[in-house]
Amino acid sequence: MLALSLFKLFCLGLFSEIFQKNRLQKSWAVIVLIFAAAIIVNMLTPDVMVAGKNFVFQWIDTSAIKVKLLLKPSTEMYRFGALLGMITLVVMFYNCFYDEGKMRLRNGGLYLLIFIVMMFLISAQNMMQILISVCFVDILCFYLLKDSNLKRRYMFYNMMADMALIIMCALIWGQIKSLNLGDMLQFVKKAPDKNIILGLWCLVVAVKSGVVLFHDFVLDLKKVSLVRGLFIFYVATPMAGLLLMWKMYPLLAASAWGHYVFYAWTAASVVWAFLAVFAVDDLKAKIMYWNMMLMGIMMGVLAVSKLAFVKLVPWLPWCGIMISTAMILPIVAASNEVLVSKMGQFAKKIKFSLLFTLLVIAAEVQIISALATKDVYWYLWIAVALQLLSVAHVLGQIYFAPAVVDEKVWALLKNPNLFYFLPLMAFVGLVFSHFEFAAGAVCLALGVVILVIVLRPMRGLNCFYRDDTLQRVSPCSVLYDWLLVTPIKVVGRVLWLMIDFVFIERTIINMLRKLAALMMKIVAMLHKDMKTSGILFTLLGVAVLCWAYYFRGRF
Amino acid sequence: MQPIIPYLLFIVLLPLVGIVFLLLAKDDEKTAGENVLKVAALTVIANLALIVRAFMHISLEYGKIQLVEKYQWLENPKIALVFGVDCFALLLMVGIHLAILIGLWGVRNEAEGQKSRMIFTLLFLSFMCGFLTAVDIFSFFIFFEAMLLPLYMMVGMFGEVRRQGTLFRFTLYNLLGALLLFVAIVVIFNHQGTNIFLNKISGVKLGQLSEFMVWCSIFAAFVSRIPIWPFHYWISSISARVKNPLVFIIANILPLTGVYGFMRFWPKTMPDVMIFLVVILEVISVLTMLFIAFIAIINKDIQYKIFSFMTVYYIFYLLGVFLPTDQILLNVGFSIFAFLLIFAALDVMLSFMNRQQENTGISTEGCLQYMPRLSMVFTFMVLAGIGMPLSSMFVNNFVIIAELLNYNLVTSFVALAALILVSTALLSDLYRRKKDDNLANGKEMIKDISTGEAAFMWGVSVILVLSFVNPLWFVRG
Amino acid sequence: MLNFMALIPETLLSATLVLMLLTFWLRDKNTPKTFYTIAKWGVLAALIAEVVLYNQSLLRENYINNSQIMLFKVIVYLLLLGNMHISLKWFLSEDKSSFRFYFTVLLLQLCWVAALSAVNLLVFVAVLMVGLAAAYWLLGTHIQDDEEELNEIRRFRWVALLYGGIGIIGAWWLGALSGGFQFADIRALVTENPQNVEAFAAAAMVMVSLLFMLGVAPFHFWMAGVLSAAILPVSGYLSVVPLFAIYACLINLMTEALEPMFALFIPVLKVFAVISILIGAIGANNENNLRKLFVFSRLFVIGIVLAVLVGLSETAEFSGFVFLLVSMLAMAGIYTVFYGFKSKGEYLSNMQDVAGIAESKPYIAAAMLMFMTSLLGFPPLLGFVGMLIVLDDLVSVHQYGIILAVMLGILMMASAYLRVIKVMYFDEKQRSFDRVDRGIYMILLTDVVIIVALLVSPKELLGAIAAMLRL
Repeated sequence: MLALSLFKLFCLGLFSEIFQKNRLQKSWAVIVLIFAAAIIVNMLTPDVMVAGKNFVFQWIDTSAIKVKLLLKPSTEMYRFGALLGMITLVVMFYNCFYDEGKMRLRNGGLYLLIFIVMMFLISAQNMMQILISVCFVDILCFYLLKDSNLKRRYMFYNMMADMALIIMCALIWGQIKSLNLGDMLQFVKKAPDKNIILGLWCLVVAVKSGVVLFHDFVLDLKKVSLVRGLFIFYVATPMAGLLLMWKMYPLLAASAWGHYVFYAWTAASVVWAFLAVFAVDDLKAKIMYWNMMLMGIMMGVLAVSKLAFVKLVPWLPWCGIMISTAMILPIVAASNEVLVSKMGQFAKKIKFSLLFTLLVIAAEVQIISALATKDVYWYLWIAVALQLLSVAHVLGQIYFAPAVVDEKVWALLKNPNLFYFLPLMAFVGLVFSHFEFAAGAVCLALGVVILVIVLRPMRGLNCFYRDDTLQRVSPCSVLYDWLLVTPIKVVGRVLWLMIDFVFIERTIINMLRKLAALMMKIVAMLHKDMKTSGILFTLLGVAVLCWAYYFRGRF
Repeated sequence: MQPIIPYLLFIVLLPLVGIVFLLLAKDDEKTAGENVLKVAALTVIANLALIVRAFMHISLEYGKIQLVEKYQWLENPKIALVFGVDCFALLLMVGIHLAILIGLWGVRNEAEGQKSRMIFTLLFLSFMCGFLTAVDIFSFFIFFEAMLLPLYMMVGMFGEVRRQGTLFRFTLYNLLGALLLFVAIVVIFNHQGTNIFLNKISGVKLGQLSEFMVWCSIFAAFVSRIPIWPFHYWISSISARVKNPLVFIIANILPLTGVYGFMRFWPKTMPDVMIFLVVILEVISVLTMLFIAFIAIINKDIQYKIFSFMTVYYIFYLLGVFLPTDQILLNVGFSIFAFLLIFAALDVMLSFMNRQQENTGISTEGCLQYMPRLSMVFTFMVLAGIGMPLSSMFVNNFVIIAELLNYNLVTSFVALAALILVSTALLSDLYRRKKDDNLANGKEMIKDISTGEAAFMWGVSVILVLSFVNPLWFVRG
Repeated sequence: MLNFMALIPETLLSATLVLMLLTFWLRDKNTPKTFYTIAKWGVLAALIAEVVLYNQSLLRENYINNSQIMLFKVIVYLLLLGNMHISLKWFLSEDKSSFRFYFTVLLLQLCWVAALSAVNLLVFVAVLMVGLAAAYWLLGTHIQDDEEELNEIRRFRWVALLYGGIGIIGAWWLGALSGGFQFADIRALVTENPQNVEAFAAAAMVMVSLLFMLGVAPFHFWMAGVLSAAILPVSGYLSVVPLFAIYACLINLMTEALEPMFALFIPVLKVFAVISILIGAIGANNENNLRKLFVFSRLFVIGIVLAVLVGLSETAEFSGFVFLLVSMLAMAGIYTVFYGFKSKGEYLSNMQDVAGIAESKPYIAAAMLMFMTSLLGFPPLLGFVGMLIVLDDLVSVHQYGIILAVMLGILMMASAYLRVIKVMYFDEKQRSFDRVDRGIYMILLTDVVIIVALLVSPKELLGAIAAMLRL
């Protein structure tokens, strides 16, 4: 049943890709959405996702390697599947109505295909299925991103990660000759190269998740529409990184330092994002940093406890999406003005937006209160506090800071249309209806947030907005350029000159050419004139005869 | 049960029959090369059908030589030419035929010199088939050397190679390798007194010095086909500069003969004298991979990038061949099959873009923005080429990488670094062509590939995807 | 009793010569075809007689025939027939008298067959010297008024006199030492004292004369200039036909008369062989004149044949024969192709003159390509069979030094041929080329068919050759 549903979605996705229509784009997109919704909603039931039948496909069966593809319903499958499925549907909904130009249908198809691949990743029981899923997500996202600079950075990071993942899986398989995730424990106990493998795994997860040092491609998502950006972040690659960490969790036991690496990365990501929110002026960039912070938090939770992760994760991504949606409201209201330094006093005109933003913050606090387990309690609250603090600072800048808005923007400033509020309303309603109200935490958090918004105690940090270099340049890109790209180019140039050109061309080839030319010259000289050559050669012949007779017996 | 029809003889001879038809085909200004192209394409397709049919008669294991055909050639000395195949050889033949078909498609609009081009293409194809079906040392050598002539003619006549001296050196260098092999096999033949099967060579016991010289010669012969430092220069000078897509494809199939030769000749139990040679070869191979990959990064010429991509992969397969296990050799074959199709398709599409550039005067930077159909297929091929799970390269490369890592960690990491670098080089060119900065002039003159042409390319993509699902999808049972 | 039947072929040839002379003197309206026709029928008749009477000897101690000698004679006859037929094209297109040419080649044929059967050293050397003189006269056929070319021919006269004289003196000396001129007498002399310095010197003089006629280095210096100065039919004839005859004479002399002393000549012949190979290969790379290039190519071939011979394996003679046969088939083809290299009535010999010929004369160019690659021993052409047999032979006697020289030579020859291919196929056409006579295409086709047929199934022919060479 699960397999059948996914197959139907696959056909729908393929149809959208192949039969891209130029006319009636919206109508076709809506039709596809309706069908997709019907299939996904029907699929996301315990009967299908938990108690349903396994689907097994014997893919490769050779003497060297055997691989089965598996779709196995389970509770985790249900939780993650529900999360990804609902996000997909919401994104497809916005895709129908948000201005995507002529690519609505194709994008809709890509969203569906990515969702299917992620389902395969979630249900994977062997490394090959994980590999294929992760790679397919990259391919599909590559097509989803239209801008070539985005593609470049996206592919650069993810190709590195995929290669590292392939190497890691190949090392494991080479040693235990099994691709099953269940056999990973056996590997962890025995393998001599486990430190290398753990190191590779940490790197892959970090790159894929888009945490600090590898967050540039995440930041690039600010250039695409919010809808597409959030989909890629929470359904595709960074989420794939997190799920990768979850699926291969036993590797953490390979060495004691694994946990600490993830803790360090979490802390670094949260702190970096926190500081970056204050430094950058672009509101879209800030949004991506908050998402990055959240991704770091989720990684940290998983590093501490798998159970805590499974409890929190279906909800935390929604928090990220809703915070992002709420923070995009001022941009939409202000005719796509993205610089926070050019906003201010928005509270006078778009109070509704501010209200909903505060409700979303409350909902997030509610979720954390309800789901944070003891082992992650304090770390989680500290991280979330930093996040909310930075959100509040920005909200203060937008809604209460002195206005420096463009006149035209101010004239047109009004609340966005209802479609933007619908998901916020739904989310808030669902959270407060689902969880028991944590009055203390919510009130405390809201109180602090409102105080920060109104009083704006950290407004002095706005001076960073005036630094052009800070706004334009990404430190990580500069780092990669200096440490990686430039040395490679220099080495390439040196090798080309020295080995290709100078050494071979100038030495070996030249030497051979000169030798050949010399021999030809000698022969030409010898044959120039019959008289001279006749005498010389005849003498040579006679000399050889004499030599042969004189040294006879020695041959 | 042995089939009645001598498939292998027909597979080798059919392209020669095609040449006869080509000579009779009308080729004037009116037909503009169309007739001869059709004859050539039909010949290749017919041969492909024969090969697929031959697949039905064999069991799909590596190394089990089947469909054996023996022809008594000489009595004094006593030499019989023996042909036979296993799954690996047939698979390579299918790949080469498909690659050449793609190349034929790439030159379909060229009228000048089409007849000669098709004649030499079919000649090369015939010799390649002979080479892959050869089971004894003499028939192996005959085709190993014979293919150099049509290659030289094609590169010289149609490759638009400016420096003829480079072409001379390229040919002589390959000829030197062939001569070394010639001497080696005659020594072996002389010692045994009879013709020997390739898989029995390791059983020949020569004196220590003779064994050393013979194996060094064999070694050098196959190395001469593969662009390994410091002898990569001649090969790279030609292979990277050929403009014509069909000629480029054929020129870059040549290193495959070196890899294949090693695979067939290489002894399971290594004579002691050879062990140090293998170590040297492995070190030089990975260093070559690395430095060619580095140069690919800085070199702006896409032709060189593709050449680098191919070289790195050929050496990668060579490393797989040298592993002390035969189990992955079929995986190498599956991967090479997809690899051949990918690089052929890439080159044909690139030549299309270059033609657009010549006709309209535009830069290739950002050109794919105005050729959406081509852009999709080109992207697909590049992604497949860098090892994404879109073809049989993915799983089979995984197996090879795993075995390499198991064998030697350092070598493997260096090799993998080279693979990553060369993939980055290809991708960087893709980005450059997909750049969405507006082209200054001439964008309205850019023509995308037609629907039919796109369908052909997508057909190739479908074959690749099917190979990902099952590399032998075209074999019944 | 004298078996005069053995002389029927020679008689037929002589009669043909007389007929030709009479026709030339008495008949006014002679065309080039006249003498060709006479010569053709005469040669055919002689050939048939030769085959039928293959084992008829005149006097066992002076003039013999057997299957081995017949094999060489038949090859020489067949090559002569082919050469005569193609040469006619030249005379017809130039509208020049062919008497001198056909008369001389017939005379030379008589000399070769006589030398092949002779087992008397005096007869042997005498007919060869007559042959040398005839060759000199042949070279002067329709020679142009070019001063340089005339000088080349004149210089050859002196050189031929010198080497001919050396040969005669050597033969006389040997005869004097042994007390008789028969091969048996000489054999007896050298058996008694193989290391006799006088015998060695005398034998060396005879050998040098033969090697000079064969064009082996270091006695090859005359070849390139002389053969390129001569007209095309003459150079085509001298490059191909006499080679078999003189080669067979050399083998006869070594095996019948000088065998006990042969060990002394081995290092000499080895050195000569290696020098021939190397000079042939390097010299070919120097040349822009196609005829000179193939003269050096011929030198390269003869060097390999000599190298095989001195290896002294059981199959040395067979290997050398086969290699020479396949090479000469290719060489004959190349000279036929030269007849197709014509522009505005002029036969082209300079490499640059044939630039781009593949564009307008694709079959001529293709034939040239095929013959060159066969000459190189490149598979899958017939030349590869010859090279394989040679190499097998050299390996069996562990002559690895010679093998190395051969391989180097092949590489260098390949470089020379690649230049020719490049000019024909890759360069732009500089001039227009004349229509090629259909007869030339037919001859080329015949040559190609022979090569292909022998390649596909060589075992029958090679088996017959081996049997005739008494293997």
